[in-house]
Amino acid sequence: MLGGIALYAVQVFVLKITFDPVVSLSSLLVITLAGIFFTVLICSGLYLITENLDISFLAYCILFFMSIGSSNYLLKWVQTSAVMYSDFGGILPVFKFVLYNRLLWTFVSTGIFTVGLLCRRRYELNLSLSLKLNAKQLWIPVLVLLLLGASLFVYINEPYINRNDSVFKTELKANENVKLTHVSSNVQFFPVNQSLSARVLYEFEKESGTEYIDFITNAGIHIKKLTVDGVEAPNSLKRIKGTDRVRLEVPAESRNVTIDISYAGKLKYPSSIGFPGYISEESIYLLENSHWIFEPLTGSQDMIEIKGSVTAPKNLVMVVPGELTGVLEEHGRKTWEYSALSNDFSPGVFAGNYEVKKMLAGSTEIELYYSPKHRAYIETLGIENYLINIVSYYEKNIGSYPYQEYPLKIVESSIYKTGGHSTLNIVTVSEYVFNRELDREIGGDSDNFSSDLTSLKDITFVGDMDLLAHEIAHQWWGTGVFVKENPPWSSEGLADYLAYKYVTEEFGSYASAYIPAMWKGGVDSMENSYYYANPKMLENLPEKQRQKYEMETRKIELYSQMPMLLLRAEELLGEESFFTKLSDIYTDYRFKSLSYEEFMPSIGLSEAELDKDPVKGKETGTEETAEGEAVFDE
Amino acid sequence: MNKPSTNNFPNNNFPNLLRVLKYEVLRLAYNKKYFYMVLIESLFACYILMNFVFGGKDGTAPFSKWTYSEFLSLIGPLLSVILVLFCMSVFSEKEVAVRNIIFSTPLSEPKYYLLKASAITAVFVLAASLPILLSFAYYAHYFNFYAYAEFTLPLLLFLLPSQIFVLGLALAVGRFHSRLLYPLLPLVLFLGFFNPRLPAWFDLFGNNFLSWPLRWYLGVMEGPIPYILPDDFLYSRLVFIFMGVVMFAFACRRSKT
Repeated sequence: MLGGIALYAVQVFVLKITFDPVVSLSSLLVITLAGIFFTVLICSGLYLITENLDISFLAYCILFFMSIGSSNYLLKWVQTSAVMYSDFGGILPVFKFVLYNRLLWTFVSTGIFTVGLLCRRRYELNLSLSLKLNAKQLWIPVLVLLLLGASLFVYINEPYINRNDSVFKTELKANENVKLTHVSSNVQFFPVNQSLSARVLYEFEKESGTEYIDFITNAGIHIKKLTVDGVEAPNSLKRIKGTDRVRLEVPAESRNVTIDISYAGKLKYPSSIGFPGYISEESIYLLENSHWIFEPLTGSQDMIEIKGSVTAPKNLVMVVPGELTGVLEEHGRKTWEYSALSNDFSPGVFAGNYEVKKMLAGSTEIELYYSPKHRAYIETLGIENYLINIVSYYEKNIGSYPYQEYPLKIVESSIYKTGGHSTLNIVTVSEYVFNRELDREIGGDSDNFSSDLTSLKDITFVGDMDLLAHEIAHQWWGTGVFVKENPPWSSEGLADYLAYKYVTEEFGSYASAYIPAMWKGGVDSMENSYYYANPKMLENLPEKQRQKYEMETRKIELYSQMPMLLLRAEELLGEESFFTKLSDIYTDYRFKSLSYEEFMPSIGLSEAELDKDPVKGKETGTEETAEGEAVFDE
Repeated sequence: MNKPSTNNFPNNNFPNLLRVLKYEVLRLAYNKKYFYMVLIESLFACYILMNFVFGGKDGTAPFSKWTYSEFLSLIGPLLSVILVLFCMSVFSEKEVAVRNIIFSTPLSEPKYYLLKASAITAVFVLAASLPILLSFAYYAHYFNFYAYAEFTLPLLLFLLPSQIFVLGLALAVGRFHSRLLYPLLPLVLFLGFFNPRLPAWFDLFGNNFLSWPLRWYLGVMEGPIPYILPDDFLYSRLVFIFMGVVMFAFACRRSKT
């Protein structure tokens, strides 16, 4: 208790964070005190079972260590998986994990304690005789069984995590014979229940003979009604085991297919931190990777006509993809209608208590959606100007903004998804970019920057602007030109490289020097790593460990190796000529897909010239750009 | 405490001491409690091997000296807890109760503690060799790796100093007051399971040092990371050993009365 009071004193008087009794006390009760409560129950239970202080202590040590080191949030009983709370999005999206974890451990710890009661030694009796005697009191064994059952039930029926997230299921490829042409969707959000219900109409063009279309769904959402070409066809739907995908049978001979799906439910996340979608009363954050609109796995090369509406309580400001075409209001709920043309079907929507700032960079309209809580920071640091500078820099060097008819929307999102993200004319960045300490000492204009870059705060700011520039660059490379990923070749490399070029121009090469150094460090450590040199040994690894290694390697390939190759190309060609070529490629491939094989001859370099160790085509990861982005975009 | 007036017991008591030592070792090791301790510790070592060692420390091979150092720094705290638990038995009420009788025999206090410490060391070495043997088996099974001699240096740097220090500390603290041994347990756990980025001189198990990215810390950006430890880390190991021995000597001292 004293510790708690001291903590709050520091919070209020030293850190100057206002004391919110609801947040603080509930966290204290649910996180700290519950942890202590479990410790008491577990330790006394272990002692009753073993009758030995030393053994129970050792067993406790192990439980403690496993709790701290575990990646499964259900096992984190000492601390909890919630390492951060959003100033912007409310705490519920992560606090529900904390609560569920506490529910599980209430059962587990009381279970251990009751087993202890069952083993309690009777006078002059050994364990088995005591057990027999204790079991005669019928309520104890019954309670043990009940608690054991409850623990298992709660563990198995964990409601929030989807263990079969499609990010890791890359073996199911998109069907190249099917094209998505039109989508129209009506989605209703119910923030109080954190749920949604939707009706989506898809129109496909396909080659005759194609018998099915696969969709990526969200495991928490259930299909209510399904019609194929206007006929109800509930039996044509099959779940693909071990994935979050469904397979839909369609008439083989017809060339056009219309599919109408109605569904509802609560979204499941792929992990308990950094998730791609949540619905809460304070904000809504739905990336394409949350599959709030089921994504058909089709090889669409042409433009897709997207129309839709989203309905939510009117206190939220909704940011929709493409163009906002109308807003209706009835019964305290608002409906935002939108339409867009895109080469890729990956819509995201975001809502919150936003304020909007509009500005113009050349011919591009920019809309900045931010929380009023962070207005002071945004205004003091002149974030607006940086946004204009970033967009102008790209327009000048690469070409005009790809979606001229839509405004570029830059949206603050909660810290529950760190980093940023970019989809069709929407760029999101995590709230911390706009929520740093206000009293940082930075000079207003770029010339002052180099002198006091020694302070860590300035590096943070350069990093923040680098992140913004990276995500905005994805509007040119990623959504404007669809870059076909084949690690290390990906849109990440181009975005990283251009963001670095912008930061160098804005803050000077002294301020940006850490970026290529970081790339080099990453690539060096990857190339020197054991499994990189001995890929055969990967076969020995357990599945999870291998996935972890492959994720890390791919991250370095996309975010460090690729920009370094581009930097090398710039060295060989000269900055001006390289930019001219990039700009030409951008013009030629706008709204088309661009592969590495097409890119190389276009800049007029061979692989050997670029690197001693040329980019190798790898079998994995050609069809997973969209998924990959959501995981990696930081 | 009345000490025997003569200390000049015959020189042929050496074989006797060995017999007492054997008895002490058996008393510590030949029981259920020891069995469960070793079992828990082995399970823990397996958990570490399967979850942390596979990846290799900072991209080094899973059987590199660096990865092995990390393995040792992870199992070190639990071994130290076991060590402290052994030391507790020296200062338990039962033991203190019979001490008067023991000291009425021709056995000096330093010899008594030396005897206890040797017994603990022997039993502990036995206990500690289990996770190490497990790791050897693991390397042989998964990586066909048999050059165990390479692990000598990590063992000497990451396991030996911390355990000598804990043994000395536990005996000295126990000699001071037996209850003081209890706070030692969470202290050892805290030092070993958390990484508050303590300087090398407080970094008993080396886990704080290893929590830094090695390349960055050692300034080696290219090529394999050599197994070279910074000077202050090496000196701190020597200091830990030295302090452990000094505290042990303190624990063995004669009572004033």
